[in-house]
This record gives sequence, C-alpha cells and structure tokens, in this order.
Amino acid sequence: MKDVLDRFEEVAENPQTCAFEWKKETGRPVVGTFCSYAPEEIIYAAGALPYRMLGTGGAKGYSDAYLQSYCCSVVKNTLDDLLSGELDFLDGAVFPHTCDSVQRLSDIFRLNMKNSFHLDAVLPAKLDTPSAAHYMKSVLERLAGDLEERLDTRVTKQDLTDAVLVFNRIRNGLRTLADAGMDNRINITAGELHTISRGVTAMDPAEAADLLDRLCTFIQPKAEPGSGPSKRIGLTGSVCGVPSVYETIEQAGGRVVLDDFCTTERYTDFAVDESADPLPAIAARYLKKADCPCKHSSLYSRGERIVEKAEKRGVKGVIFLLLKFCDPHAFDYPYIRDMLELKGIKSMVFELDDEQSVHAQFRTRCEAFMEML
Amino acid sequence: MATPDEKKIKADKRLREIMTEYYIEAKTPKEQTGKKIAWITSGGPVEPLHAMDVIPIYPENYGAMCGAAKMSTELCEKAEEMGYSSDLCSYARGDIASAAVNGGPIGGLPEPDMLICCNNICGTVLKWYQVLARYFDVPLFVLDTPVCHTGYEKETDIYVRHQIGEYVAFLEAVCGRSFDYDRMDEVGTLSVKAQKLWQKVLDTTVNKPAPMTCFDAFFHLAMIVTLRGTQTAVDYYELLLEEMNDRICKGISKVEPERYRLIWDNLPVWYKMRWFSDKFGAHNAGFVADTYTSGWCGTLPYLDENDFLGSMAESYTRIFLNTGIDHMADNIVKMVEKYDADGVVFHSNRSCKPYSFGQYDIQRIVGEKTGTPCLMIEADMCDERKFSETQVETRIDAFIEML
Ligand code: SF4
Ligand code: SF4
Repeated sequence: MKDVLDRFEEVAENPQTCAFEWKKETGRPVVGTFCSYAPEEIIYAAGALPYRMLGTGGAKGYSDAYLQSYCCSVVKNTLDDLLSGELDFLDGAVFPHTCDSVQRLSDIFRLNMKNSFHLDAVLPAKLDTPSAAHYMKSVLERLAGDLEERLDTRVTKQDLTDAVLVFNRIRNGLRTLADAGMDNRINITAGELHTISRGVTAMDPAEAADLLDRLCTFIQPKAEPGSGPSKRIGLTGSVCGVPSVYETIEQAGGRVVLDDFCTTERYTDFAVDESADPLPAIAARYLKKADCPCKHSSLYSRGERIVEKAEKRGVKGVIFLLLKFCDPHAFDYPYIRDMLELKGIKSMVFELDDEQSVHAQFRTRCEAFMEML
Repeated sequence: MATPDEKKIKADKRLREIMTEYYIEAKTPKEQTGKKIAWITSGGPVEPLHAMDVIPIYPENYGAMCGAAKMSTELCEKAEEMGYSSDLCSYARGDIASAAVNGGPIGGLPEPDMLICCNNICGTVLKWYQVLARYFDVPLFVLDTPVCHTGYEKETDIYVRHQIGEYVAFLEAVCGRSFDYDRMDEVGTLSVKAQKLWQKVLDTTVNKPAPMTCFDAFFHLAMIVTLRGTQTAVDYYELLLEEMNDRICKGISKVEPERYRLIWDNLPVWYKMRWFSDKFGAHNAGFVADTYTSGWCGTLPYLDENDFLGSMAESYTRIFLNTGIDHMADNIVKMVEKYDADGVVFHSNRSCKPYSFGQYDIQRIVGEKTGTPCLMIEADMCDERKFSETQVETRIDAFIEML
C-alpha cells in the first residue's frame, strides 16, 4: 500500500513535472483542462493526457497585470502558472464553460498562450431540458472534431469506449476509497485521500485506475471499531481545486464523511453508461451527476442532495468553505445553510483567501465548531 | 457659452414622467390593471412580454435607481446579514435585500408572477434569479445563451432558437392564453425602430462638441431597456433625437469648451455620476461614448425586422458582453475611431466580473491599436464602500496630464 500512496504523493506534489515526464516518455500530447465538467474522456480518447489545471499557488504575482484583485485564487493561480511559463509543456487547453471568472480566464488564456491550441467547450448552463441535453451532445461532438484536427488524429468509437471504461474505473475507485475511509474500513487518512485526488489529476489515467484498484484491495469488509476522531463532518462550498483542510479538520477531532467538492464527490459522482453509445453517454452523465452551482437543474437540487447525504451519513455539522470572490457558491450558501438548519444540522462558514494556503484561523474556528457539536 | 438652463436636456422631464407612470402602473394592484408582472434581466428578451401585455420589471434598473439615490449600500449590508457575501454583484445583493424588506426609493418592486432570466450578461443573474424563484415561489424561465468566445456556432443557434419556442410556451402557460403572433410582429417592429433611434441618439456625439455625454446616456437608457417594443419608447427617442440635433445646430454641449473627448467602459458608478462628470468637466474633458449604453442596440445587424422572433436567438446571444474580450476590445477600438476620442477610461467594477476581467488585455489591445491613453479606475457601481475618492482623484489628475 505504501508504494501506491508514495506514487500518488509524488504526482500530487509535482503535478507539472510528472505530466511533463509523461509527455517525454510517451511522446504524446498533454491538454490542460478546468472543472468537473471537463470532457476528459474525449481528450484521452484523442491520445492526450488531460491535465487538470488547479494552480500550484505561491502567489507568483504574474497575473496581477492581467486580472484584478477581486478574482478567486483558483483562477489567479492558474493564470500565474501560465504566465510564469510553468504550463509551457501543454500542447493545448480546453475550457468548459462554468463561471464568469473562468469564462474570462479562457479568453485571457487564448490571447496569451504560446505555441499551443485553445478550445472552448461552451457547455449549457441549463441541465434540465431536452434542448439543453441535445446541445450538450452537440458541443461534445464539436469538441471531438476540433481535437481530431488540432492533434491530427482520429477519435473512434472504440477509443471513446476505452476512455469511458478507464475514467469510470477512476471515479469508482475514488468513490469506493472515500466511502471506505469514511467508514473506517481502510487505514487511510483524509489527508491521504486528498493527496490521491490531487495525484489523479495529473497522472496517466490508466495508471491511476490501476493504482486505485490496488488500493481498493486493502479495504476491509467491516469497520475498525472505535478508532479515529468521531465528530462526523460534511464539507461543501466552493474550492474548485483540492484544499489542504482535511488534516486540520481531523486534528480538531472531526471525521469528514461527506465531501462535496469539485475534485471529490462532484467529480466522482455517477458513472458513464458503458453499454450506450459513448459520446451521448458522456453528455448524459453531465446532466445527471451532482451539479455545480454554475449550472441550473432545479432550484433545490444541490441543497436536497447535501441534506440527503448528510442525513444518510449521520453528519453532525457541515463546514462551508467559500473561496473568496467565488460568486456561484456564495449565492448558494444561505439557502443550503437554511435547509440544513431545518433538519437540525449545524453549520459554519469559512472564507478562504487562497485554497493553497489555509489560514491558521481555520484551525481555531474548526476547534470551536467541533466543541459546539 | 450656453447658459446652465440651455445646457439642460429638456427631454429629461418627459423621461421622468414616463418612468413614473410606468412604475405607478406596475405598483397598481393587479386586480385593477389585469396585467401580470415579470421580473427580467437587463439583457433579457422583453418583446414577447410586451406582446403578451405583461409588465416587465427590471431589478437592475431599480438597482441603478437605488444606487443613484445612494440607498444601495444599506441594502447591500442587509443582504450580507442574510448571509450573502459582500463580494457579490451589488445589484443582486441590493435586489435580494429589497425584496425582503421592500427597500429603495419606491419602497420595493411589485411582486413578480414570473421570472425571466437570460444569462447573456453574466452567470450572476442565474444565481440571483434562482434566489428570487425560491423566495417568491413563482415560475422561472432561463434563456441560456452560450458565450460566443470566438463566433456564433450552428449548435448554439439551434439551442437558443429552440428555447425561444420554449419561452413562448412558458408565457402561454403562465398567462393562460395563446401567444399573439400578430402583436409580436408589431412589438418587434417597434423594438427595432427604438433601437435604431437609440443608436442615432448615441451617434449624435460624433459631433464636436458632443451635444451630450455618456452620463446623459446612462439616464436616457432606462427607456430602451424597459420599454423597447412600445410606441412610447419610439416617440420618446424621436423627441430626444430631435433635441440632440437641435443642440448640435446651436452648438450646445455639456462640456465647454470640449478639449478632450473620452470613452467610458463598463457600468457607471451610479452614486458618483455627478462627481465624475464635474471632475472630468473641470479639465474640459467629456465622455462622448461608452460601451454600456450602446449594448442595447449593438446587435441590430443580427435582427430581422420582418422576422423578429426568428432573429431573436442570434441577436440576444451575440450581445457584446457575451463575446470574447478580443471582440470587446475591437468594439472600443472602433469607438475611439468613430468618436475621435482622446482617451479611454475603464471602470474596473468589483460587482461585474464578466465585464471587468479581461480589461487589462483590452486596455493593451486598445493602446496598441490606437495609441490612445487609457485609465483604469477601481470602484463598484452601487456599493459606495468600495470607492476611494482620493485615490481615484489622483489617478484622474495624472491621466489628464497624459492627454
Ligand atoms: S472557485 Fe468559484 S469563481 Fe473560482 S473558478 Fe471555481 S467556480 Fe469559478
Ligand atoms: S452588473 Fe454584471 S454581474 Fe451584476 S447583473 Fe449586471 S452583468 Fe451581471
């Protein structure tokens, strides 16, 4: 188990180097993407490595001449990486439509990327109508065609089916491990799960799927009784990347049993139908998976899902992590908070300035919250 | 030199009358008017509402009124108490709070029977209207207009056209009667007429000196936003156009003598309009055009007068805010040339991310293509707490030196 965890850690700590090495070894292209609606299967089917741009952080400052101070750190950090030349290894980038900030980040990338292609996948904001479903499919078809052209390749149905199988395995593996971790059926800390989620974003998908399968063999059928912290905590809110908050919560005596972030449950939720035509099936998954607040499906869908999961998993308290300047999530917070409250589930909200460097204040707030529960 | 009285635009009075009548009708109990009320986003398709005799209400227009009346900050604070972050768009914060406490200059807006949200201006409106739909528990229609980063794609056209049909069906269901296509044709013709007139009004500032500034345009914009598609709007803009032409003949302008001609980008700073006008005016600088007010006639090339409903998809999707920043930059470059401008002032608006992010690139492009000096000012259109007068003042003085 240790060698597998070590490998995830290696990639999580140096995602750019690892992706670059993959490129050198395989001679295949790397394509940067953003968000849990990024059509990774199609990029992979086109022979490229989908690399999730999460921003390595460190406030390099390059983006200050391109983006105002009132922009979220995910977007600023990602642009910093581009401008500092750290993303020069990318052969291209694909931007799915999400929030207003990413919409403009996409434009800024397009105007400032050197020697690499740029594509927009302008997905629908609505997910609840047949016309939106039809449009979703058309956008993905166009993307597949554009990728064929840019990468000078052919994307066959078989390529897509193979890619679907790999990504289903990844999402399933991540979900299974997270569930087992929450129930104490595997000796993995929340911090390690976090490292795994980060590692997956910059690793050859086939390798990631194999490693996850191997980890899953360590899962016990029954929970280890009485070990670990006991306050059952739910996490939700913005953070499009992978925040380093898990260890803090654990140290404060909390056990994360519900994790609704863009790189965790919103990413792993729902499998692509393997028996259906692959491209429409990929499109169909986006309509069904746990939605992001940038999308419109129903007025209460996110709140209902979070409440339902929180109740099912015996969550005592929910922590809303809101990334500063993230509008879509900030709009959703009050109503979801109220829905939880109606069910007697307490919550706290914490605003992060930069998801890569979590404040010491978070520790204090967490401890106080655990005490209150 | 024109006297202060001559400088005043006479049509202002008429506009105030019309807007007062409009709000009085909207606030009259529905049993008396027999009309339903729809809240709609500023970039949303209002014409089908007029065709169905529904009164359109624009929370953003009300937001501007609250801002100009310096009542927004208090409402924003109220929204923050409710749990909404202080970094959210101040129109949205103000409106959400005003719905809860009936705030603002006219004691809140009349309650909606339906909500129409078009995301061609931003993703904020989608979240904002979801909040409203939960609060008022009324039907919400979302017109999803995919961003045209580099062009208008075929699948986008199919998708939005389909939704125009869904919009009509939605209105039929909420209003309980079938859609009046003949009336729609009339409304469509009137809308195109008003937009053409509005463009002509904006074009009058090509003249040197300009008969009005963009601060006037911000005010006279109210009608093209709310009442386009009605005879009232057409009549009003005919009147205004006539007055502008008359001012040109008489050589009347707001800034005398007009030494510098400037262009404004982004929404106005509603609570500081006077201050900006005076501040630049003192240097004999006047804003002869802006990117905001021209947004309500910018898609005329895509509109078909004879098939308004059929051309709505493209014209509503291709508004400038829904395009890429290079396209937005070209728009400003053209304006600089058309209006023979000496400088561009960018309002970096903390409320409006889709309008503001990308401004640095736009500034670079405009600078490179026209050689015109540019100034970036950070503020917020309604939230006064985000405006630092001394800082902005210093920057303006330095900018004027450069001209
Ligand atoms: S954190 Fe929020 S604002 Fe930033 S990229 Fe994600 S959704 Fe957009
Ligand atoms: S000001 Fe900007 S963010 Fe606010 S509603 Fe208007 S377009 Fe949207």
